[in-house]
Amino acid sequence: MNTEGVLAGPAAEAARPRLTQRHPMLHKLLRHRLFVTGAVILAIVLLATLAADLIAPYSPLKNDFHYRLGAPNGAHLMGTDNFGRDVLSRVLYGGRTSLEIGLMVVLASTFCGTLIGVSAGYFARLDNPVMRLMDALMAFPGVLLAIALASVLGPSVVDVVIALTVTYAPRTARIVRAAVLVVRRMEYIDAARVAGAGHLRIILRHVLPNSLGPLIVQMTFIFAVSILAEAVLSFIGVGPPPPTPSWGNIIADGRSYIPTAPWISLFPGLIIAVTVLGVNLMGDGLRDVLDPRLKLEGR
Amino acid sequence: MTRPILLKAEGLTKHFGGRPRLFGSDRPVLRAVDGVDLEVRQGETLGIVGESGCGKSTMGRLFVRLLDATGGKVEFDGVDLLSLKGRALTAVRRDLGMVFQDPWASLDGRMTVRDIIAEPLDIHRVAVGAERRRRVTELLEVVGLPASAADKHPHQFSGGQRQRIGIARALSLKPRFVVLDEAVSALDVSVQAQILQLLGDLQAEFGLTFLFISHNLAVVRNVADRVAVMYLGRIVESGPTQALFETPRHPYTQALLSAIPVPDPERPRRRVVLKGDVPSALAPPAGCRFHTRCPLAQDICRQTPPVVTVGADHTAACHFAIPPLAVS
Amino acid sequence: MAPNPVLEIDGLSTSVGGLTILDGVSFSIGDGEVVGVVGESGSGKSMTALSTMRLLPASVGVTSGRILFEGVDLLGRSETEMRRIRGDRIAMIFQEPMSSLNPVLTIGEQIVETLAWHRGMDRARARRRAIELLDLVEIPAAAKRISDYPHQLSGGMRQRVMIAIALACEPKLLIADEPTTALDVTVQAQVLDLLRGLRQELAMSVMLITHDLGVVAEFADRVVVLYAGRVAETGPVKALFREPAHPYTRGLLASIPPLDGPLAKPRPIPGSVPALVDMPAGCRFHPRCAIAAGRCTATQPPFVPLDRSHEAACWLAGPGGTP
Repeated sequence: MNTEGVLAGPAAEAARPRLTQRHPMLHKLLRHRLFVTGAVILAIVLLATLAADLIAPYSPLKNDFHYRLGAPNGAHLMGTDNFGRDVLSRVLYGGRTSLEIGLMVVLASTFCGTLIGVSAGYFARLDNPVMRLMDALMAFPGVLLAIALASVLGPSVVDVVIALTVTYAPRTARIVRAAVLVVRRMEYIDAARVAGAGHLRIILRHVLPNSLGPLIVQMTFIFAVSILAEAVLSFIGVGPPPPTPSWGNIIADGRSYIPTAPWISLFPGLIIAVTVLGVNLMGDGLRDVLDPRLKLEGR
Repeated sequence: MTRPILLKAEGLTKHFGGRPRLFGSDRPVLRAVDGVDLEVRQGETLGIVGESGCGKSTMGRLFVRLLDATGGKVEFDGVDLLSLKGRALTAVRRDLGMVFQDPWASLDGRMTVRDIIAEPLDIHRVAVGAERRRRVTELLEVVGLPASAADKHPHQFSGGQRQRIGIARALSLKPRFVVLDEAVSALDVSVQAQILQLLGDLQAEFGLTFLFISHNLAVVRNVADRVAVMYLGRIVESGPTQALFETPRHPYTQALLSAIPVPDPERPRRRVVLKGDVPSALAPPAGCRFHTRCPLAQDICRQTPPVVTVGADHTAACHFAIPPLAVS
Repeated sequence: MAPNPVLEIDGLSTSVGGLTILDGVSFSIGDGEVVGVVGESGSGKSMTALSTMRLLPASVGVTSGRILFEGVDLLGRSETEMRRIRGDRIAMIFQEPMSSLNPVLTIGEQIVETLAWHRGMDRARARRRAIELLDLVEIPAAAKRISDYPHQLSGGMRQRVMIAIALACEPKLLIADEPTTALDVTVQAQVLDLLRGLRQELAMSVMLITHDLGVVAEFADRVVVLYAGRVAETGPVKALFREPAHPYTRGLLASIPPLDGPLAKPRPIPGSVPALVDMPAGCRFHPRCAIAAGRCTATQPPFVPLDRSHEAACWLAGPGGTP
């Protein structure tokens, strides 16, 4: 007996407020504890970095050789680095770079991955060649591939984004392709064809909207992973070049001073961990809500 | 009075697989539909019955050009249906409609009911704006749903209601020929009866021609004017409904009819129980496809049986098109 | 009620999230008797079977009633005890054999598994018994096919394998949930014939759950008609089909297109099964009933006895029925 379906029936529907009536998923999402926790964490970090101009106590570039390697105190909540720059201010501004990289990688890899995934999933003859290419790219461990590409392309924000996009787009492509394969077999696609719809219409109006679920979840994970990847790249030395701060290169700068001034690497590391946690929690929440739930047996 | 023929199929064939592959061995050929001759008259309901794997659904899809045939010819209202392409194909689609089996999978859950029903109108750019809304409301009314349904989403409706939406969509371009592929099979018995009544009313009102595909013979008996029985890609018997059900001439039809459990515990049933399972369409038996399970099989059955006329407009493909088994 | 019933369901009520699904369902199954539990979607027939096996999903709770199997209330038994009973004393077969059989084990292994767990048989003996069982369910060349995987068998054969697994420990009660619905008509005929033969041979009681009245007419001794979680009518199969007393039963029979005899357009029952949140007061069928009146809308009707063990829950049933 499909009690889930019955509980969501017309009478219960009428009881809920209008916005969530149209979007039952939104309603579930906002009640999901993990999602909300993650969203709050991310919101705080985001707002802090966006408001860096307002809340950073110092300029991130200002050297002050009197206070080199100073431990955290009242004036410098996160201490100072080897150039006497305030770590807190650098972390706040660095967040902009790192989050920006994360966002651009998500957008670029989602766009490319979706294009590739839809082509492979929808057009059977493209499936094999395209996905084997993706497999080849995925055969390299992600971060290593990113490092290799970044070294070749050179250190700059744009090149880091390109390197990470090439690394993560195949994973997105695979997920989108899987969703497309399922949707392609649904009878409503046949119905659209019988009515005379062409491929483009079917893809844009039916296939894509119904493949969004796993894609959205994947996007959050790519966001998290690219922030981490950027840190790794900076650590190696192929990340965004100085003096622009990014979380990764702050950690890299502080590498040599860990025994004497651990706070330089510690704080950006903590912030990365917290941000990635927040994003992952959101991803988990999204996946719980968007994945088809197990229903009780039908008739 | 014989009505004019709307659709005529000759030697219709659909094979899957068999194309040479780059790597690996050639795939075996699935002969889903293998040489079907059929006629559908204007305004009538032709029932197509058969068990799973007989090819009836595939055949339905060939008629609406969801699949491309491997061979044969189909004449639809004087036009060679199978060879149409491009604009000509899009144009003829306005005369074709299809209702699917699964009320849950045949409607795109992300769209509103209005968008679902109006999609054919949108594709052919037939109506926009207020006119579009008006036609959707009209269609909803015709299938017995309130106008307020237009703004809702499919998940807010029951199985029977979703089928009504599917029917409204199939009718939106005012087609002449509608394929109903197991359109009531996924519904409860009492809901089936409602939808069948609706279909009957619609046919009478709009002069529609139906191809009613079903595995449920009792339903087909009460809705179809003529019936064709399929087995492993071929039609084994076809004729007027009453004649086919009262005096089935092909052993498979007889077995099929006798196998159906009847809701009458006091009726003695003389049952023809077939041995074995339906052979795979990948390796169908030679000659008469049914001979491996047929209680009357002889050596001659390894040759393809002729189509024998056994009554008015009633044919059976059997070497021994025989009188039905006597019921004691 | 049959003397010394094998299974007695007494006032079973279940609910989910505060909404009642089954409401006071009662019926019994006698020794060697086949009882057909009939209903459409939302009637609660599957839920009744799952309750008996104590396999309800976590969100559904039994709010009252007893399920007496061989005299002991199953609802009071521990999970460990139930695991001993399931597959041994009470067996179940399902609608979809492909998803009920484990695709990565051979059919032989799946039968042996049951025998080893419940009877502690060693593998050699269990294997011999498995071949016997496959022969019993008329699978040709059993000794060879025992090493086949489910996907190598046709739908009808898989269903037979499921029956073989269910019968391995000679259960007292077999619960068959839509066992032939997913099968082709000719295969369905074979499987029903098989079940009929087995039931004679093994003196087994069967709870046959189905929406197909034809199957019930052919195979069941008695029928229980469920509607919206309540029992509408029960009786011996011939009496119920000959003189259905409850308007729902009558409506159900009228909505089936006849296979022989005069042609008749099936007459639908107006309306639809009410949603759990919208259950009508009084008789649950009254909004769709052609003859509902008076008390029907307010008070739940009692069971009106009509004949030997034939009764219907309707104010208007029987000779003295008044609304």
